[in-house]
Amino acid sequence: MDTFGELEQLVLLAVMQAADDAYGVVVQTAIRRKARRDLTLGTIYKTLSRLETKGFVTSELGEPTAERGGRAKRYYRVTAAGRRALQQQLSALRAMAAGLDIGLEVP
Amino acid sequence: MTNAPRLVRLIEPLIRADFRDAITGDLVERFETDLEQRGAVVAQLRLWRESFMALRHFGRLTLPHRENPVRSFIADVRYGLRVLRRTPSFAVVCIVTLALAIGPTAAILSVVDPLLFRPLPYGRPDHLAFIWDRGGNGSPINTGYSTIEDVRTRSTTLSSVAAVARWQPTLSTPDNPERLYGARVNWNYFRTLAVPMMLGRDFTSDEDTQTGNTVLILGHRLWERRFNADSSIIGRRISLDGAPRTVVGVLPRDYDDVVTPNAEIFAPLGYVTSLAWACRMCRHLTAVARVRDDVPLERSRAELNQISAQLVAAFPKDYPSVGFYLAPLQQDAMKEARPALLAILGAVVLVLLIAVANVVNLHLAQSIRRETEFAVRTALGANGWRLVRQLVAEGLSVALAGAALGLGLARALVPALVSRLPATLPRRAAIHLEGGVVMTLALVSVAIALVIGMVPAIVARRRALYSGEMRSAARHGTGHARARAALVVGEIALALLLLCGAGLLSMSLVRLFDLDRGFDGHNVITMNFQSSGPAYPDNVAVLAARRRVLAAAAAVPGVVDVAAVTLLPLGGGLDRYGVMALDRPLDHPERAPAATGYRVVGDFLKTMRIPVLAGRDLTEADSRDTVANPVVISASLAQRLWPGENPLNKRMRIPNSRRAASTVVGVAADIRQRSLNDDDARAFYYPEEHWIFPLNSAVLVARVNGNPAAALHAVRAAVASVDPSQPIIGVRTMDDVVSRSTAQRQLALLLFVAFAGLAVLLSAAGVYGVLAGSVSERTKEIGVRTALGATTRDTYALVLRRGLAMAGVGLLLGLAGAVATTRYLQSLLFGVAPTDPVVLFGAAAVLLGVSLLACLVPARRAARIDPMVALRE
Repeated sequence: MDTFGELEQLVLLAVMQAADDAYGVVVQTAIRRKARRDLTLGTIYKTLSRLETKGFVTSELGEPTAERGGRAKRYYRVTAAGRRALQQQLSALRAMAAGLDIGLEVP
Repeated sequence: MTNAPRLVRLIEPLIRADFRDAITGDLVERFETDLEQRGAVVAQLRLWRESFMALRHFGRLTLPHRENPVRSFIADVRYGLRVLRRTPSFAVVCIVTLALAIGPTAAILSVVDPLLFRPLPYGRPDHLAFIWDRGGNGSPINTGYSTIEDVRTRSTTLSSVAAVARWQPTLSTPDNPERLYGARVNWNYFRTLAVPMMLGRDFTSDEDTQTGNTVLILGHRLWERRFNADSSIIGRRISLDGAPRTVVGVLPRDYDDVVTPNAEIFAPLGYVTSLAWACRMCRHLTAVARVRDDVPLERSRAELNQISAQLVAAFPKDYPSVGFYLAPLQQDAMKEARPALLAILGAVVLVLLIAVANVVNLHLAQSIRRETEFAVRTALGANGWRLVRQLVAEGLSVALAGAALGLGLARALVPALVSRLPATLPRRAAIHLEGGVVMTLALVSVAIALVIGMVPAIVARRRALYSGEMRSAARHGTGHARARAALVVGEIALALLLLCGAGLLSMSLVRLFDLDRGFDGHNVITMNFQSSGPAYPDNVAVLAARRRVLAAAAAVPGVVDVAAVTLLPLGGGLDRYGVMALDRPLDHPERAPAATGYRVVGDFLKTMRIPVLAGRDLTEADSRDTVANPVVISASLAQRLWPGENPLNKRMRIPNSRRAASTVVGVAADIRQRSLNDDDARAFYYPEEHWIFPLNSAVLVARVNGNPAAALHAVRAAVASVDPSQPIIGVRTMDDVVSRSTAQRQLALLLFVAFAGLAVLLSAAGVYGVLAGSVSERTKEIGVRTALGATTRDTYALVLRRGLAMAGVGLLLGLAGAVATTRYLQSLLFGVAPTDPVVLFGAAAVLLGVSLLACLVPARRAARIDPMVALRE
């Protein structure tokens, strides 16, 4: 089974956070606010297309929007496989952190 | 919101199609949000970063190797920077060399661009032109008001014509009186130029009359300087020459008057043709015209010549010859400075070429050392294109660093240059280091990068293909050596051009200063003082004040002689009048010879040490002599009026004099008046009292014992004590006045000397570099020669022969180039031919000497090679 790196983790979580409105700028803003990481859109889309190849997200083009000069948004959604993989990885992390005083003990 | 930033539109087609909309749309959205939350600067910077990364990950362009071009270019630049960091002294030398040339180039471009190339800050500036009368000798001269009025009414091709007169009013404030540069203009002047007011309104036609003439328009700088940029200035009354005028308008910041350079205050002219001083012969006005938008200049010119023919037919006594000049505004305003500016621009381009040749040369030498590296990379599969790109990327790092450093240098140079430009040059305020110049430099840097990358790359590539294996550099040095020698030859040739230019210019200045000026300005101090306003209601009061000023100056310890005069010789402006001998009536009085009139109070000739050749100097009693009206004339005027006769006691008429005729009581030696190189010395000197009215301002000349610079302050204080409310300007020694009259030549000379010095240094470094390189390459060979019995002398000869061969070819080429190009300096030269053999061969000798010195160091190193050590290596 495919695993993923920290960057992919962050992006995946951000897509989940944004629910139905997950596209580049929203993902970028969420990561900047919550994780205090300043990723460029290029990096985010690169990561997203990697996640898509692995089958963790799917994407579809939205309607062209006037405020972006008629450019369409590309919306992402996390797949069941993505959700599962994330759960596994986080529980592994939690298990490893159990008993250590690093702020991850409480579920 | 829908208007995407230009950068986004630019990169949009370069983004992979499947992500194009998503990414560029996001970029726009991000930019708008950042703009709102973080401000323009941060938003712009972030946009650059975002665009760059978007291109990096989703750029559409790929090379045959399927590598991402942005990414591999970054890799190239990084690698280039690493190479440079490994050889810091090499990098520093290259960067400094380029900066030393790019700095002056940017500075000169900044100066030349607004003066010669950038359109004037007026509407449709290409349709603006001066109209000049044609003088007796065919030269363009000023026009009289009646002529301008006739042109205005008769012409159908001109949409408007405005008359302009110089004006130097005093801003009368109790604490800080100031003499201003300004102009009296027709009400339609700014409409003709198509310049709108920034504040308030333009003049109206009923203000351009003798009674309505009580208004003012301020220049932007004056408004900031004296009125704290106060917008409520409109409608305020300010006192000029003691009389109140109402401010109606303020000009925009970028307004710059090229008709009367430095003018910053404007009032209506208020002439009508019936005025005595509005006559056709009263040629003191400049006419500016706007040619109709749909009319080519040529057609307008033809029409003006027809009008001139009509006018000359109607008033034959008023015009010396038929025809008007219609001269495009920018070209005409710059016609005196143009040749010098172009020569300086040419010179700095030569310096840039030499610097680039030098840096290319250094890179060539460097690439010999990197031969093994190139061979390895070729063996590992790098094709020739890849190596070229690598070297161009390295070149770009060097060129951009040089350009950045050069720009810093230019920032310091531009103000220094502006302060040395002649004060009469228009558009000085428009000279800044501008975005356009920076852009040009960026392009030049890229071109330099291409050259310094391509040349070694081409050589390296050729050899990588032919040799195919790794060898020591020494065996393959010939191709490089030839390329490097060719570059050095070119450098020497160009350096010789600059050196010849510098030599010719300095020879000209020496000749100019050696000329007998006819007066002795050493130990003379001068200043412009004034007596205007309500305290000086009439001629008597003005003249009394003038005498009080002279008395005060004479009382300063150390002052020997004093006088007041209307204008200084070599001071920049002259009063020219047509004068006539009474006993030789002219059929055509309009062709009376022009001479400069100096109206004096006190001992002017004695103070200036202008020798009296015959008769006597003017005396105090002459000013009250209303019968003879004594006048002293210059030798060349005497020769023109009464050739071969004794001029003493002859009578002549001076136009506008209060007196009917003047009697020549003395002949003074000729002096230089307009400039040191102008030998028109016709002049006459007569008492101020004889003129219809005394001028409100005059120039004080005072001869002092000892250092004149030291006495300046005391004399100024003495003059100011007579009436502290009157401004005093132009406080300087006469030597300074003379020196300033050659400001343009001095600036050209200074720059040529600096550029030539730099060029000689760089080409000497080139000679040195090539020889040092060849000596170290040939260490073994020289060792063998020494072992076989070559003497120190032979070794010296071996190296020197090579160096001097390069220098010799370079000098020959340079001499040929100098003969072909120095004539472009003609207008700046005086007393020396553009191909003066002394200067040309002298410059060549200097350069040969410097090259010889540059050869000696490597030659000495070669002579000291120990054969045992060399052979063992």
